[in-house]
Amino acid sequence: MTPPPTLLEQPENRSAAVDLALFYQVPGYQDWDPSVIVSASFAIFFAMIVADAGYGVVILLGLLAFWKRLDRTSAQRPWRRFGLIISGSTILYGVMAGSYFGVSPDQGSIWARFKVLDLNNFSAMMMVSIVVGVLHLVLANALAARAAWGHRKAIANLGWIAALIGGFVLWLSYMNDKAPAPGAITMGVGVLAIVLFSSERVIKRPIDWLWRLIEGLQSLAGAMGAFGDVLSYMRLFALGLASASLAITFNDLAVSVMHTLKGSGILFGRLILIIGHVLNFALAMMSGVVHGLRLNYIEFFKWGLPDEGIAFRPFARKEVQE
Amino acid sequence: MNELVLTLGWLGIYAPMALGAAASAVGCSIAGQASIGAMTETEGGYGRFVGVSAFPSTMVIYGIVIMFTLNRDVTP
Repeated sequence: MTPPPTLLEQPENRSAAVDLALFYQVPGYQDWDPSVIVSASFAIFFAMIVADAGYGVVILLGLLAFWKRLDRTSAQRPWRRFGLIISGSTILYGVMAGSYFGVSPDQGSIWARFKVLDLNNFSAMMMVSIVVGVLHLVLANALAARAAWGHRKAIANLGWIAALIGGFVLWLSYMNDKAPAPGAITMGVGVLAIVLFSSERVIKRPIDWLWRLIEGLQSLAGAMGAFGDVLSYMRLFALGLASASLAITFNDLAVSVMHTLKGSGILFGRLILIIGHVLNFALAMMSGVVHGLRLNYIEFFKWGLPDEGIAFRPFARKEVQE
Repeated sequence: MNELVLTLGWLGIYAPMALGAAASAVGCSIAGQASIGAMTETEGGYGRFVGVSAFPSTMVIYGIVIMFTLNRDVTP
């Protein structure tokens, strides 16, 4: 028996979010609607990967230049709105990271005061991206638990949440030379819940209890995957640093050319600036879209929406266009 | 002898990134070609192919992370 098709119901102006949620795979019929969370986390991830307020302004200006032209169909307007959200979040994160086309603001200026993140501080940025990863996967498991509430699986999802948080706390206590007990205990409770509640097997004979336990232990093999998935969020920081350092490199190159070559240096320096930033902008856009989406689709969907459904197609008569 | 040790040190720091980049380039090309091949055969659901094509870039990203963790002054 095939399950009923899935329809995501959202207001008209959020249809971009629905498109984004259905782009990779259709959620199962019993599952929850991921569109708002996917689009919100995509905006955050995109901002963290681009990590430059200047590039955010470029997106915003490009959007405003085509503002009128994107008003034609009702399918374009939500995307226009979504573009506004993305450029806004990119500018906000760029200001927080203090990067404007690779130039950081002068000490003591107003803009320097908004700089709360240092992209070159490796351990702090690693912490930020791992916190984002743990929170994202905890959210995925929490929503999956809510959708499966009343089933044994829901408790296993809660167990994964405990294991993720416990593992994170354990790592923190290891880094700060604190006692490992709180993290280890939380993790242990989580692992126990995973082993006991992962299997949905119906008990008919006593041997089924053993099968339940074995299937629970099997699902524990996903722990390695959970570790890898959390580490996968490091790309947020690594790609952000890569785009920021490329911008700085092009700026330095242009400045040194302008200083060494008198006369023609101004022309070549500007050419380097323009070509370099266009290249870096294109790379940042590509990696922002691809990796911002894949973190949602591969890591988040794996934990939150493991089942696949079929898309709902309304019964309608369509004109065939020749 | 000192130069050799220094060279080995620098190699050790930057090899994860360089080898990861090479591996990602090879992997992305294979995955991208496979995705394009699959795209011609299927209708819709192209989002999955985007994900598959970007999968192998994970190597270079971990390479960057390892490079930064190892990054320090090399002394003989």
